[in-house]
Amino acid sequence: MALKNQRGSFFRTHVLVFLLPAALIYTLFMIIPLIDTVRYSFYDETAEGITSFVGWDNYVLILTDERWWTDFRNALENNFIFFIIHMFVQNPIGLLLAALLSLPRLKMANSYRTLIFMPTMLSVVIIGFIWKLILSPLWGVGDTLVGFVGMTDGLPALLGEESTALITLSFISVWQFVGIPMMLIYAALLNVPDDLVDAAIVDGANQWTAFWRIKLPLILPTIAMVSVLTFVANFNAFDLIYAVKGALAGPNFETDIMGTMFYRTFFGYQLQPGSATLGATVASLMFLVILCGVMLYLFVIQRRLQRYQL
Amino acid sequence: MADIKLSGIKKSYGKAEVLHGIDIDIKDGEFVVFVGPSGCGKSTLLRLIAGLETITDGKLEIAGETVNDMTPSQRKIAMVFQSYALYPHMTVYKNMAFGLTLGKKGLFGGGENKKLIDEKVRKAAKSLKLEDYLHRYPRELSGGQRQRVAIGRAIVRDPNVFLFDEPLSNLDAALRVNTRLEIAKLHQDLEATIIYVTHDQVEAMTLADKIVVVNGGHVAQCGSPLELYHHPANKFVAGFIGSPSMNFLEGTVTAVHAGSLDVLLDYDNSTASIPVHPDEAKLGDKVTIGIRPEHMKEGNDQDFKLSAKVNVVERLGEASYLYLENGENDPLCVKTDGHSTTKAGDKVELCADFSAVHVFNAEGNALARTTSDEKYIAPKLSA
Amino acid sequence: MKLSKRVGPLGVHAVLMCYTLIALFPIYLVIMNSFKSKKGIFRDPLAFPTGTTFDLVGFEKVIARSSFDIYFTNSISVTVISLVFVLLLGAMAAWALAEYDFPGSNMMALYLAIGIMIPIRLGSVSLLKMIVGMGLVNTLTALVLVYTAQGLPLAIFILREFIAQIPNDLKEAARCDGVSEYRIFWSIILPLIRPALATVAVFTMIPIWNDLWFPLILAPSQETATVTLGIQQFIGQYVTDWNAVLASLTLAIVPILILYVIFSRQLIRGLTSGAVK
Repeated sequence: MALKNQRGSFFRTHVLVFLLPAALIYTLFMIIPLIDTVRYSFYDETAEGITSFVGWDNYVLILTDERWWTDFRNALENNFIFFIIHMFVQNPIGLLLAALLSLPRLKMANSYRTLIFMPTMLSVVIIGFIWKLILSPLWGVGDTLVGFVGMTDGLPALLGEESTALITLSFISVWQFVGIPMMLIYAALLNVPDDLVDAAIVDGANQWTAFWRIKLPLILPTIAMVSVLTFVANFNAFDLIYAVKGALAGPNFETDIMGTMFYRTFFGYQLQPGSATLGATVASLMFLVILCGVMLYLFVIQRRLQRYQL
Repeated sequence: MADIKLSGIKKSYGKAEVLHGIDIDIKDGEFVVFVGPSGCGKSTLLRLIAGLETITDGKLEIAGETVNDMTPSQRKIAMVFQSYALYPHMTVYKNMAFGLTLGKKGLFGGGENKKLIDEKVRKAAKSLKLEDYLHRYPRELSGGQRQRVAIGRAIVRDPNVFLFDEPLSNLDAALRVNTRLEIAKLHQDLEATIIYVTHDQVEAMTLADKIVVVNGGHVAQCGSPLELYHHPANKFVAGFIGSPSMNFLEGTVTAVHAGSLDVLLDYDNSTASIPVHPDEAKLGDKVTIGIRPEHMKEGNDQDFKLSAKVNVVERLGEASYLYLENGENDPLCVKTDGHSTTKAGDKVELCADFSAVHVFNAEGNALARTTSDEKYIAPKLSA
Repeated sequence: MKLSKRVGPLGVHAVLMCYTLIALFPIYLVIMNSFKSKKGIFRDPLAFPTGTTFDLVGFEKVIARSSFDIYFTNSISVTVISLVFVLLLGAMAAWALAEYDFPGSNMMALYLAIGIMIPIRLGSVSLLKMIVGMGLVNTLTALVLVYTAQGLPLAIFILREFIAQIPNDLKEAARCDGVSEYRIFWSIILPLIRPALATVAVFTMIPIWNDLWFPLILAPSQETATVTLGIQQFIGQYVTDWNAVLASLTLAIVPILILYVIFSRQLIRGLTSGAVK
């Protein structure tokens, strides 16, 4: 698409007036802090606020010091598990719901869509607490519910056990955010002309074949985009864990992800004092991970996927 | 190949009925065109025959078998869509082969064997001059080429019936004429039954063995192109077929005879005695007289006469169109000789042969003519 | 076919209904139990409040012990003001990028798009220092500035695509009439991009309203707490008082649900309009 007009090739005042406010706020409160955070990760700061350049020392500390590295690796791994569950549970469910919703002449499609999207609207903190209550062994509503499906032993303390806490939190997040892939994929499916599906049906396909062989290949770019959004969103997944498990991401750091580790490093916890420079280092490392994911998407995946004119 | 029989076909969406009982017989190998204004239900009718919509009531038979509950592929039909509906992520070859790869065996495989598919696709591609484009994607093709791929996709499936949904409407004018000829030739080569939907009466006239004029969910008339042209069954068909369209003059019945009606025309307060079967026409009934522009001429040597003032003259060379003053109504149009010297503002005498004058009663239905010298008998084309 | 014709739609509805139930039940459970006495909550959590179990004690406690009114005012002010900034400044920048060809305009567009993919939270360390330096800690202004910066990249991206589709004739006609560029933007472009603005508004609003991170680190005081932070702190404090916890959750959920039900049609149209591909 040609975004450019041929009008004028020199800078004029009104261009500046239109562009400057947004560029200024964006630069000042987004770009500069990001760059400055990276810069800051190469410094050390004393309690009195005196900073000194230390080169790669902070990185070396986090990546080699046994205690730091254990923490960091744990958070990274947990974040990865968190991502995998979203990628392979949330997105397929979203795809399934979107595919069902986009079936031709489905009655009440609008109501389903509206209701299923509802949890997505609410704050992560609220969702976190809702599930914390429901899963709480104190209340017992969980036991009653699993009783209906034949589990008489009651519900284990899913959020309290080391082995299940992270998975449970991931599923809570999946439950909340399934609306987003659903909506994005649904929108993409709506853009596939009905005629194409009709043509496939006339060619002898059924709705199922038409979905797999016509619709799905045409919305692959959207699925790739949903995947990269899922990836980036993982590093924002601080709120849920902080609300449900606190900054310590218990039990025993089993639910610690990059976001919570960043928070603890920055502000300190229990006996460990907070460190802005080490916090900046953790943030920079997160930045790097995100950058790798986004680059992979932009330069490998997106280029391979042909976007078809529909 | 197969004949198709529609009996009392109805279609409703919720409470709204859009087709109110359609009966059509289509013979094997016939080229049938459904024509009508947009929203008349002709496309819905085509989709019902295709099996893309479910029939609310009535019976649809293809080759003697009731197919109401069959899927499109079980009905052995193929369809060419208005948008062509080419799969954007498949090459021309794959587009054409897609239907053949869908067998009953599985989701992703099955179908006919590869060699047979290849043979069929290449044969169709050859007949449509698409051989050089088999590995291109639809986006790399011109409009006309896409059109041919869409037709090719239908041909390879070797269907009993071809359905075309306004296939020419996305082409420019020059290409449209060409493609129209190609489709006519295709019909001859394939000897297939074709149902073709269009809103363009020229397409309908030029292509059809049989035209079905659809209006408001009803069949307004069904017959050969010339039958419809010369013997429109009602005012709607009369106005729809023919270009420029038929002139209509309002009048009142002043006398009823055994083989004719006297009609007082509102236009110039003249009375004409028109040879038609009066049916149930009574004194004082409102009727409409219809005459095609090409059946009127300057002069007064024919039975039906009219005098009028010319408002505008359009000179096309081979013919000139005179547009006549007609008060608040649409101007009347007369197709006259290209050499005519009539100018705007002239008073002219016009006349027409009674055999070309149509009379429609208040319900819009045509009254049968009683002229002995019937010139316009539709030639029997189909045996 | 005959079989799938009958089973198909039923199966589809069964799946969708099942999932809808899963999506709504937890919310329903919390709201319903917030209207019950403590006994009612524990004895039969699935039961509807009855004459004996109906109790508003939770709400009374929440209203007595917290300042939900302040939280709501804060959340609304922050969200609305940020939204106005994002929409206005975003539209202006999008217009400049779509309409005027100046050296580096493509680079500028790319620069402004970086923020779509990179979470602003990663800059928190430096952002906090900066806000401290400006003396804006524990002010709503700090939140508005950050949220504006956060919302701008996506807003500019969506609006720019949209503005580029506006026919040139409209602007050219105005220019021929001697209308200034500012007026063209204000009187022609802004009204034309209203549907896109609605979409952007949705995308901008939800994350701002729901955010916990920035209120927590930039404005954690009682006076500046937003609903999300307020509720987090309140529940942290009264975690054992089930009536109060459930009531506070209900208070946070219900207004959003009401707004959502009112605007859901518009919101979902925005989400599915394909503005974001």
